[in-house]
Amino acid sequence: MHEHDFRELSAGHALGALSDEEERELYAALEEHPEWQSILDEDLHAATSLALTAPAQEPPKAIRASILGAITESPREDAQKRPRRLRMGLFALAASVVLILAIVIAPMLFDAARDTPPADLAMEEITAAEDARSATADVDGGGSVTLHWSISAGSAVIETAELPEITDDQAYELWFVRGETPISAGLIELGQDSELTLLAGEPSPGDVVAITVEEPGGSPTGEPTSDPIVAVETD
Amino acid sequence: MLVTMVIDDVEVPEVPDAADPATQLLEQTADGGDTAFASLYDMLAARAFGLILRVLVDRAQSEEVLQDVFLEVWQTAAKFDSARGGARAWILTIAHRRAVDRVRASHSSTQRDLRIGVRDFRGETTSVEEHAQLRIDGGRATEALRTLPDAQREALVLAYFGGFTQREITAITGAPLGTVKTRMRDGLTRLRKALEG
Repeated sequence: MHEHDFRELSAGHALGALSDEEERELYAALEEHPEWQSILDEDLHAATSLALTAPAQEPPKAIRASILGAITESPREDAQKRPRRLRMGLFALAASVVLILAIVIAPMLFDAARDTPPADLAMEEITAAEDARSATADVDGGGSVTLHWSISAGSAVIETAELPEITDDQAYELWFVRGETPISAGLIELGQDSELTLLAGEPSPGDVVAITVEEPGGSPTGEPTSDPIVAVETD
Repeated sequence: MLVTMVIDDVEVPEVPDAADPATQLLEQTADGGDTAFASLYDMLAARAFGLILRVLVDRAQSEEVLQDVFLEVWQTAAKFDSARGGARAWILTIAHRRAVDRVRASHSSTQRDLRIGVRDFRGETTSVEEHAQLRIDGGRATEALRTLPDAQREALVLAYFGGFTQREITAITGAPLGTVKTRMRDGLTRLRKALEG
């Protein structure tokens, strides 16, 4: 790719106007030409100036309290220790090996009179939403999981009835893989009444949902410590 | 703990806000400082919220996105690299990305076309308070935006605040794709140069 073409992609990226494919081209070009990072940084900085033309507006106080409360139970990521290319490679390999995509709109019926667990409540919201989606993927070692989500409802729920058994010193941890960044979405509790697990946090378009095996309580580093046993694409 | 910036032989673009107080707070947040994080929120939430509102318009969705943004800031603070820019730019980039993702997921293209029709996308303000606020915080940026040729400013504003892709902008403006890309590229360059003074 010539620098001229990269500069066009860079401007488009800074303005948020690229297609997914163009985003991939941009990052591929950066891998080959790391020196072009400065072009991208300049454009991102210029785009920030655009942000400043929107007048600041005070958010409701309740949001501050909500966020500060949420961070106490939120895992955090360490600075990147492994080279970026390697980590992306692990997830991409896992996804390509185990992934089967089945995009189905799957309405489900619930008895609203029963005392419903949060995952089931979220499932109702998801199925009621206009942009409800589902996808199924095979698990390394047998069985499959089905993810249900709605961007507008801001929820994702996963069916995990077929996950292989694990020992007492292990736990299944869920992740939203956003771009290359895995963000913890909580743990799966096996043996509970509902076969659904509500993911912590809101799904973003393009997220890959992955499950890894961690120690009880989840990965202490805030990042997956092993390759995913399953990865579900939401595209 | 990163207190000093490492400047190696590679030329680093000038980043005027790299040493701002928000950057220090973000670095303290990365070390686990929830007090620093609260201060960072107090410093930048209104700025981020204003940007998200400008893109999304819908207040309830904007509030949700604001929470997602700061949760992401908390979770990924360790990945912030001050050599590449300041904390305010980093956070506003996250806010912008999430707002655009959300507006694309939440609106059918028909609804977004209608949004364009009823909103003024030329960067002009409509109220006295907004105008005063802009002169205090974003005056230079607003003035710089005004210096752009109409077609370039339109491309920038449709993309950045409208959340439209380049292809969608060709449909809205009637200009060919190559022209839209050139307008964005040249417009952004011109904006940067206007701000450098």
